[in-house]
Amino acid sequence: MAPLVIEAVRKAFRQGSTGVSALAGVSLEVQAGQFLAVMGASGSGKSTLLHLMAGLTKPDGGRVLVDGTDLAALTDRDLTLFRRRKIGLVFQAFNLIPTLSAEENLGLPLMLEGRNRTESRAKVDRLLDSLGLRSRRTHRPDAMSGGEQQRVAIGRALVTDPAVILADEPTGNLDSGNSKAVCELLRDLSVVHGKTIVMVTHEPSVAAYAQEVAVLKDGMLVERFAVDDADGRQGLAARYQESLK
Amino acid sequence: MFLLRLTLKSLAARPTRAILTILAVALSVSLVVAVTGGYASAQAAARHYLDRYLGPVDILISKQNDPRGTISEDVAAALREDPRVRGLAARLELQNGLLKELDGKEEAGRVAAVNGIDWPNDMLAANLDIVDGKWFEGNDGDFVVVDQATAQQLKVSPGQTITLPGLDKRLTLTVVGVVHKPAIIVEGRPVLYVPLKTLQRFADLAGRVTRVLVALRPGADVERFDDEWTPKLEKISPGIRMKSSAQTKQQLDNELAAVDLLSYAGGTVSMLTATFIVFSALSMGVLERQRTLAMLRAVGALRSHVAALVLIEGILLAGTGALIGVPLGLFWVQILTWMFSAFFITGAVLSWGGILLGVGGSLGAALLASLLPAWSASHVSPLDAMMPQSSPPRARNWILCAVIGAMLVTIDPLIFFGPLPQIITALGAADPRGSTQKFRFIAHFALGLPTLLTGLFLMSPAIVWVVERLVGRLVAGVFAVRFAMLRQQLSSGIWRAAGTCTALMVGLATLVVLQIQGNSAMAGWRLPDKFPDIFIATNMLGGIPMQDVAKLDNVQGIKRGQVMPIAIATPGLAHGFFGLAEAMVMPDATMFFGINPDRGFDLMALDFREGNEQDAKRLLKEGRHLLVTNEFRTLKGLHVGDKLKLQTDHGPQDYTIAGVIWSPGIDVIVNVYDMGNSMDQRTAASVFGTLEDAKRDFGVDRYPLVVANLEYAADKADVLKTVQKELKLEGLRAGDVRPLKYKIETEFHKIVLMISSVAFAAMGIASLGVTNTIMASVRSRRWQFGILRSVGVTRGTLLRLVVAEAALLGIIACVMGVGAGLLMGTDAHALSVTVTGYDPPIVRPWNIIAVGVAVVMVISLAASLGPAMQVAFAEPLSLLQAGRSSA
Repeated sequence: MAPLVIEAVRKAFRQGSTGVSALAGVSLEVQAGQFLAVMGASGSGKSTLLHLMAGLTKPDGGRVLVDGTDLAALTDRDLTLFRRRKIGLVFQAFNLIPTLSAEENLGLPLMLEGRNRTESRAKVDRLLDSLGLRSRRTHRPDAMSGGEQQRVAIGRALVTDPAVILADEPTGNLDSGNSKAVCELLRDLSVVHGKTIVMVTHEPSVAAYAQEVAVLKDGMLVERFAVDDADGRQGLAARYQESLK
Repeated sequence: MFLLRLTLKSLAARPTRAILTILAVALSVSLVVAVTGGYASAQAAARHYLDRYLGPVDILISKQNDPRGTISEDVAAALREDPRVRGLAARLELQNGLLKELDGKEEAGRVAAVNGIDWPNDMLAANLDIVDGKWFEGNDGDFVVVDQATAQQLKVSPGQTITLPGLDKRLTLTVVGVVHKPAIIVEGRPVLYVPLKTLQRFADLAGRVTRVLVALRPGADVERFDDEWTPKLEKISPGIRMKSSAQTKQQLDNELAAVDLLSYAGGTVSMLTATFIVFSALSMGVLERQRTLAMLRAVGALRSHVAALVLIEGILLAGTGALIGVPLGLFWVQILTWMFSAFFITGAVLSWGGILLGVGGSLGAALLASLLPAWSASHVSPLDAMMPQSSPPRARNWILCAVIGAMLVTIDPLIFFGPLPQIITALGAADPRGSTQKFRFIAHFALGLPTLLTGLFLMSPAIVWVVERLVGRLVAGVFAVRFAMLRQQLSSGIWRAAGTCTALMVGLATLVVLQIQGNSAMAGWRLPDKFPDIFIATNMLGGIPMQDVAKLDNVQGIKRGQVMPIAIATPGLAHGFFGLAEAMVMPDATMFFGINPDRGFDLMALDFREGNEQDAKRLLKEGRHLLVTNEFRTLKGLHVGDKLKLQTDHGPQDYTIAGVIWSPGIDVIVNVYDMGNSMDQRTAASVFGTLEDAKRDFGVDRYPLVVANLEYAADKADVLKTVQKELKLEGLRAGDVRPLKYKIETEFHKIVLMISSVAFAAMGIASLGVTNTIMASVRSRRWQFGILRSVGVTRGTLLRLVVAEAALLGIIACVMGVGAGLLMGTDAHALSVTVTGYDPPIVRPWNIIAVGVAVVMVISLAASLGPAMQVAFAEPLSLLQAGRSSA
């Protein structure tokens, strides 16, 4: 079974006295090792879809299956533990704990598991090396650049070998140089290391690093295509704009 | 370990906040330790004195119902034969004026305690250190030994003389020695030691003594000795009382226990303040770290992990505060005992109970204070981590809390004003009145007070919200800021503001309660319209004999036929009351005033609440009838016709109640005139009988108090001089009760104000919490302030904005404090009616309450100045760069 399966999920919110349908029956699958970019305009439901994938909220209808587990069937405690072990989250705002060092932030999920520093050191060291952060291991977030912080956040998402990695606008707070570095890193994780990644973005240039793009519009999946079919970045952007019409 | 590390790092990231909170806890704990330690040190000094004073004495024998009464010396002679007696001494202890020479003229000096002792058998005197001269020898001779303070006051030394004036004679004594007495004793009147027979002769009390001191051999059973000898000694000298020193010490412990309880109550007030300050700090932490907490939840931290972070933070803050507070408190105690070393003769004494209260209380406070923030933190949505800006906290939970709080607040008033008596009666209690009293007393402390305070705290966010909306515009106007900028500054961090306001509330509410209680107690003491013009009092020689009282009728200035002596005795009641509260205010004794009914009712207009003057007069004259006070009736549920057993010289006797009167406060006047000054005679209940009853049943035939009316325009001082001349008795005191009442009231208000210092101390501690809150509030809005400065808001406006917010905090705290104080004051008044029966009108001293309100406002405004100036004078760019969302 695919690591991530979305079956006809629906989600609505209340805004004041009005009900707003964020997702109106979206279905998709993400295969193992696949890197999927989810694109859409503001209010298209892409962030809501990511929240559902992460188990941060429950669908009003349909199912979200991660590694074969229906997230809606789990209790809050079980969902939390599942998220810790099976889902890696990368946030737009990095969300590192400002009082912890890079290695402590990276190893946070392992510490929540109850493993002490010695036990988790090897794994943390390996990730720090692979992310080029060895020299920053003892630095706190305020002493690192945005790109470095985001790499620490990615390392935190990887440290438990999750079934899927979910990234919400991971380059949103980065300059172009750092954005490129982070995108390349995510691509390498997918291509080289076989990680399953879903990335929400509104930038075609960022989506170009993925293997496939899914476009949402008004809460529905309107198109899904391979990046290779899009004839470069320009082509991808054009196709994306076309699907929004 | 990981959670501990995370918490420590979080605290280290906000050092000022952590330091202020720890300091507040430390001050609270130090106050607890200092107050309880101070009382423990005073208690130890008192016990040391008692041990030293009573140490060698196992049994004290005295007259039962009259503190100045005498017993036959034959008692000592009989006891001497018992082989169990190791040592025995008889004493005659009287009070007498002293004459001193000033510029060649004789003047009456102070009243002295004159002890006729059987040297060298007197074990108490033998305990004293002679510092100059020596003791006299034997039982006779015109010699005297004085204490060091007396020697200084009278400027006498061995070889010089002191004169005692008496009835128709004087006694000139040669000083042969000076003894040293602890300062705690010497603060009182001068003390003279003269040979026993000399004093007996001078006072016309041959063969009479006031006390016999007995020391038993090791291993002798004191109780058995008491049981064997009491009936025998009754035959020799009726109305005798044997009391072991163990009983005396126990009584001291009981009396001091009440004081001890008060010291713990004061400590509890400061711990309460600390609880709310810790709560406020933790709430601030949760509010500011919402994104971090949300992220932790998003990456897999359980709710329990997040809650534990808050709990650990609370325990760390409180624990560190306690670690600092305990030694700080001990330091205060050391300073106190060093400054008053003459009083604290045993030095500083640890109160382990106080230390336990401080440490346990602060940890308990931390746990309690962290409950709500921990719950709040654990319910932060992990979804918030995905949001660009932290979402504001949901409003619903404080509304629910306000509803629950309002229900809790009604419990204590229901205990006192609800249908409890009817419920207890319906349940078939054997003694509904007594059961109701007991239940109310216990329920108030066990249930009513805790729920009242918890309820007020739960209601506090709602009060913050309401007051902010009602008064916000006015405050904005006063500080010349736009209301739109001030609006919701407090309610956006509602629990933080609520915690701070509650901390301030504790001190102000305590002040209001203490002041209401104290002022109400005094207000209830109103003199009747008709009252004697003059009180003449003496402690000398047990009082004025009847034949000398009769002479007063002919004294110029006194209205003929309007003189009345008052006999005073202290019989015990034949059955006891309940609990510690009883021991505090109604020990197992009462004060019997014997009067002449005809003259008494002429001289005083007594307000009859049951019965009437005519019937009461008739019944009193029959004998063994009493008038009781209204509070006595309220407490005991007695009515006209009911019987009351009093311990007399002939055993328990029934007295019938002839009337219930509203007390004119004679017992208070008498206490001031030092009538029943030995500690086992102090009472709060007064009953009125006749002079004949006092003589027959309690052996009182001398009168320490005489009341009279004066001729028109007679001068009191002149009348007193004439009386002294007529009776040849120096050391009389006379007074009009009105200035006396004023003096007592003034002193009482000073005492209430002194006790209220605990409340002011609590407010001072709370000021640290206010500073914390303002700083956190300013810090969380640095970005907003940056925007305001960028668009043209001046430094002055920004400064006024922060100060206006603090003013709003202060106003909310005042509303809560005064409201809580008035409510608790009403309940406390009901409690004291339950316990003492005394039901004065409630008085609310708005002037002192206004002072408390002013103090709270000053604290709030002063606490805001630092943060306000810091933000007002910061560069706009640095404010903008502080970042938009919470960490």
